[in-house]
Amino acid sequence: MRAIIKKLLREFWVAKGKFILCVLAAAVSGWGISSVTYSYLMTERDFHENFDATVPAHFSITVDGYTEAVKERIARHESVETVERREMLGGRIKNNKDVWMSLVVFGVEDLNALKLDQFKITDRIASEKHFILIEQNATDFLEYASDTAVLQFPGSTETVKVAKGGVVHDARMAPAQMEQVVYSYTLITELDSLLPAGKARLLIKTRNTEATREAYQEVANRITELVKAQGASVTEVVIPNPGEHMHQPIIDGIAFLQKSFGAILTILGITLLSLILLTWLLPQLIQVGVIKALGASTRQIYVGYLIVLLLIIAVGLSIGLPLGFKSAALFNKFIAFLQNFTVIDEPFPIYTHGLVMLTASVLPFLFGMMHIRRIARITVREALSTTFHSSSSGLIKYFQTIIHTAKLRYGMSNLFRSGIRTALLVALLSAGIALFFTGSNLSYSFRTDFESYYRASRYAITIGMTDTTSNRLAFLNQLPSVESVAYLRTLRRSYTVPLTNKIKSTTIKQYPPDYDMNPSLVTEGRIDKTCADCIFIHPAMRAAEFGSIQFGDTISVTDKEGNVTKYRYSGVIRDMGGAHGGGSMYRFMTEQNKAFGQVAIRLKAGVPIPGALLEIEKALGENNIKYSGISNVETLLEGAFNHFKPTYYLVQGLGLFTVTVAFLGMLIVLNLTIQERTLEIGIMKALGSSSKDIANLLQMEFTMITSVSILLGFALSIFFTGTLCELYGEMVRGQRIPPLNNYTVILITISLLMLAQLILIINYGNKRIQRTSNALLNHIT
Amino acid sequence: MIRLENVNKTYHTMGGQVHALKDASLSVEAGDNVVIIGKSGSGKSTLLNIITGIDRAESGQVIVNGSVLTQLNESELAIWRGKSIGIVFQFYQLLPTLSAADNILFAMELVGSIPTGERRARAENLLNQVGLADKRKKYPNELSGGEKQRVAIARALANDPPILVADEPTGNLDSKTSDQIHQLFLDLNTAGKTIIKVTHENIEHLRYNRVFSITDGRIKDNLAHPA
Repeated sequence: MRAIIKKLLREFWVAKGKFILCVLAAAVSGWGISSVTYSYLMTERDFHENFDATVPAHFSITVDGYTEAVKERIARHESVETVERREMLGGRIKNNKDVWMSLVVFGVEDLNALKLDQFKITDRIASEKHFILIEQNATDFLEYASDTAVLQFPGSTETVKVAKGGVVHDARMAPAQMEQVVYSYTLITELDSLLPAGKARLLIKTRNTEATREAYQEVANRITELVKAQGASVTEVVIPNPGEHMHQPIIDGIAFLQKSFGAILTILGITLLSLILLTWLLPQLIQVGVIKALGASTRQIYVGYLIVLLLIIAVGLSIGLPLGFKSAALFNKFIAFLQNFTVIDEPFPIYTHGLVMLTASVLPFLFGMMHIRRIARITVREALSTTFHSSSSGLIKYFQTIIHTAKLRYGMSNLFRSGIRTALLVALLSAGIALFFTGSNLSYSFRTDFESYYRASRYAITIGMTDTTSNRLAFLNQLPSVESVAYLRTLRRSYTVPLTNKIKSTTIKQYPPDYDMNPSLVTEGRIDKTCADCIFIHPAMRAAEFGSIQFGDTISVTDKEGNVTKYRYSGVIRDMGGAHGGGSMYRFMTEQNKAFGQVAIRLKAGVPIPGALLEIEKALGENNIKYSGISNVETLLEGAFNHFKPTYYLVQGLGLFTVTVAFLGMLIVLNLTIQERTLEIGIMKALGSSSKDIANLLQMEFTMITSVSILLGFALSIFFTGTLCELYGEMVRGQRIPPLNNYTVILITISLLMLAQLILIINYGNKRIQRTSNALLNHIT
Repeated sequence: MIRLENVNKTYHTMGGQVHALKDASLSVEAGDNVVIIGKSGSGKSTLLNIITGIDRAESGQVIVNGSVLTQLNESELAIWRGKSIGIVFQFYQLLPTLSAADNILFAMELVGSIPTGERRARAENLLNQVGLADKRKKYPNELSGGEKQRVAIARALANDPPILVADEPTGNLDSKTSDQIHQLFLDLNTAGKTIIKVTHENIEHLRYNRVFSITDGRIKDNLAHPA
């Protein structure tokens, strides 16, 4: 056995390139497995250290008629562990480009004694003036020389100047860059004049309660009764998904992709390792026969080769594991950015690395062992036979009957005689193609879907209003860029879910009679503006809660005073922003909304949005109109699209990487093909073929491989796109996003792949055949 | 038909320089039935490589079937070889993934000198000529040694070359099968083909009209032996 190991090591020493390739394949495999394992461990640790450490509230309630006594009574409730007042106020803030940005200010009772939804004050500047602390991710937006921030709140046309009192890290909030929102913090006393009188928002952490929404809802119901008994009322209960971050759906999606990435990288590494092991082992067949003829046992050969395999894996892992750790750390940093987490840098205990090493080595070892077992068990007679394939299988014979030229039949039979290798190459290439197409399809599907909402919206600009007197806004209609104006109202209501009989809260968006809705947004039913009791629902709500509803069925909606109104189900309306909290409801009014919260503005054809925005903002200022914010379809579209960018990039990057590795695999196979067909190439030369002719034959074979891979990859990409569109759509939007194929990218990619393959074989294959031709021919004669 | 003048060929091996052909000269006329004899390592395979254009002479003149081989590039040599010479190997060298008929068709498709519509019929005729009409669908691993060699001869004739070169064509066959193969070559010679056979065997039982012996890279034109 020692002699066998010595022989193999000596061969590797002579053919160092082959050894390096084997090691690299083992490294890729180890990289794949360890990157998944490490990133799982890292993200779990970061989540625990960041999010769990904030002591998240289980739910929040809004109390009308609030007094300190109400809070004390809630705190004494048997199911309540902690209660803390935390106000939240929306507004806007001037950024360093002197442009208004969305602002959320949290008001806390005591900055030094936070109990729930805790944040860390990382920098505190003493100030005697009014102040806000800025969430660390938003500081880039506010890096102007001044120590003062300029704010504006709903209901006021006046700006407020406050001191920038320091920096906060709030791991619960999304990064400002992603949300384009500045989160800030101050004392409740600072916000007193801006908060509605007698109202308060309370954070509540339960005790001895199961960590489910249902259990928290149960406690919230009891507290609602308790508050009622105190002469106040609970107007809103918000229960976040237990243990979930604000961006949990996006993080879950990316984590899913990351796991898939690791799985693919693992398969890729193993496939590559299998391919390379075959190039190492196949030419050894005759030698194995000779060694056996000399008296070596199958066991001796098996163990000897296995030890060398272990050496390859060990060297491979010494490269792959650090790479896996590094890429996991990079990935984790990315996830930490999405979650606004601080990355925990402490080293893992040694046994964790040991465990990862074990996990990473098992699969390549098993696959390598499989090949070695086959080689070691070969008989002397089989090994010394000059043919390295079976040429008379039924499948080959069948293909031979349906193909007309001998050249094509030769190419086809070559694919079958090295069947495992062809299958591995096809698997590798089709996986890469599938992923690349999927990334591009996802981006295309999401953009097309989002655009379908925003482009279908005939109202390009929406103003969030605090002044609800429509007759004061008549000037908007007179603006040169404005075609028409519609006044919208959104009401908060509750309803009973037919399937579960549970009460859920929702919003009803009321469209005025002159609102011109694009019919393409009505996916079920028809708008009848004369119907006063017609109600439409969001697709997510329709799918999850109203599965069996028929047109005309009753939907009962309850207002906060407990008054029930019955509506007739009339259809489904697609609404980009309506998926939150399970979906909104929609009504078309027979008369104008008396009060309203939004003004939808339709622009004249061809008017660019940026110019119109400036004109509208200026007019609002000149007319002294208070408003909370202005949004437009372009920025909403970009914002929505940007949230998914990491996903497209991750999938496309993975695809590109896999295709590159597949081409590396193709190069290895091409080499092996030329090597093992030395005799045949010589025969063809002797029969009158030039190197170019032989390269063309190889080209034909590899074109078959690439074509099958493209077809398979395309089919797989349709499946992946569909699955991810459904997964992401339901996670983020509450409904499936229609999957589409980006044929432009697909066709360009196919052309480039074919071209790359052509160049690879014409240049590399032809040169290789030419360079070795004399040696090949001498081998024959 | 074949003329070699002062041809030299040297190989560089790990054991040092090997002068495979030394001022080798040879002349073969159309329709000759030639045997080249020599021991292992004498240079006979190199000579065959030079005649077939598989290898290039370092010096000297090589003219085969009217073409000066030293003046042709690799592609031109391939085309010339396909049309001018049929090669038969000691170990048959049939393509293992193709049937007997397909091996012949493959050779025709590579060269392209036989019109597409005539190829299949020609392949069947050739198999018929070598006595293997009923084995056309068989794969090499389903044929005996003699049958493989006969398919190899049929393949060598695929593009109707005027010269047939055979390297130890019966070196791997029993005496009865060898006689059948030699007879086949004789029939082809009678039909007008120029035959060159290389062998290290005893040639007493062979029929030929010219014989060359090769020793240490030097060719000696022996006396003709009436075929």
